[in-house]
Amino acid sequence: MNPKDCKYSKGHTWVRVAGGEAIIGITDYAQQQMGSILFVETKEVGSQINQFQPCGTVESDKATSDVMSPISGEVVAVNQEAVDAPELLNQDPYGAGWLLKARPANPKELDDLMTAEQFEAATSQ
Amino acid sequence: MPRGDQWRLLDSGVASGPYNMAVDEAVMETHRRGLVSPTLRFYGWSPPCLSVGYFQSVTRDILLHRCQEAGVTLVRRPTGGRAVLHWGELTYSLVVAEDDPRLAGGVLAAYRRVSSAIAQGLSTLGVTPQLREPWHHRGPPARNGACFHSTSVYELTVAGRKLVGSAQLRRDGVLLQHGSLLWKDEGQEILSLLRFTSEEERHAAASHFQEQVVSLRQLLGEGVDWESIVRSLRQGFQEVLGISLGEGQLIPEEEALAKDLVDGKYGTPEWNLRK
Repeated sequence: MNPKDCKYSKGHTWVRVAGGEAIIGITDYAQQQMGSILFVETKEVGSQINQFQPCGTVESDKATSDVMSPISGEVVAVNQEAVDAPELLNQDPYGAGWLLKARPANPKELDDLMTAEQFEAATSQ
Repeated sequence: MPRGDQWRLLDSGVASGPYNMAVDEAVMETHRRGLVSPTLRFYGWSPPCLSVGYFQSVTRDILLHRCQEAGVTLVRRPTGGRAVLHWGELTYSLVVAEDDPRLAGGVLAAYRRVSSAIAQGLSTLGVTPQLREPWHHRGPPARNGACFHSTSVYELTVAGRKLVGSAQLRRDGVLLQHGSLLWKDEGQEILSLLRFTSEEERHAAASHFQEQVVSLRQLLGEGVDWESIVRSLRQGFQEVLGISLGEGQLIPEEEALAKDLVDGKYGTPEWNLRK
């Protein structure tokens, strides 16, 4: 189930904005498609990320995929636990498997993203 | 991105590792920009080159001094997985939109279609590879850094021995899958370039390698040449994907992009030795 408090990109990433901070991760759909995730890397703290541009890379036992950021902003935290234990992205993609925290540059970018219902409709086609 | 059933075939011949990886990435980019059709490319490598996976640790897995002594160069791929020795093999790469109906359905569906196309092509040469289905027992994961040391889902084997190893990258809606078809050699020399924790482990890996890997030459003898392999694979892709492959060239944008990628990425130690 995709949480309703998140917004979703066509690139299969999610963002949850609260208190001026955005948390970013990959969706449950994406982790299922990827299979067992073995490696994760993200942009570093202090770097800029841009909407729909790569903010990280994940590798599973089947494929490597760029992680496309759902928003623009500055990276303020990286989930080192997920970098050290990438299986967290499979086990808990909307919780312990988050990837980045960022300071959003433009709140209006959220309008370009899908709601949980829209994302579910898009991925069930 | 361009759709339709007219795809481009590039028979690139042999080139250096950095150039080969740069061209694959350049084609991904030009296809994403809508400048070129989906592209199937065949190429070889000279000088011999060890390609390592995107996340693979060179420090942990590779004996660089042995590579230098053996005249083997090293390049890091944009795709994941483990090391492949490119010498006496033929590499294919396929670039297409992720949602192209022929390859859509996710990572495994794309693997299955590509492997089916390769198997169909090889069958015209008299080889009948099997796709390793997902429900087959995987066995213990390989402990060393060689790609051909283990077989992944939908990779191609003959009598249980791996013939083709592949890797896939998804970037901004474009899929790149490239893979290595063992042609003249089973590539066992790779084991002398890899780091093992003990000589015992190296011997065990060598014995495993001999049992688990096979080349086209072992299966078909000396007669099989580059042209006949390319012709058969082209036919397999056309039949299985329902496409027409027209021979083409790199466009100037791809040549320029590839040069930039060699100079700024694949030809640099910052990229190749970054892990």
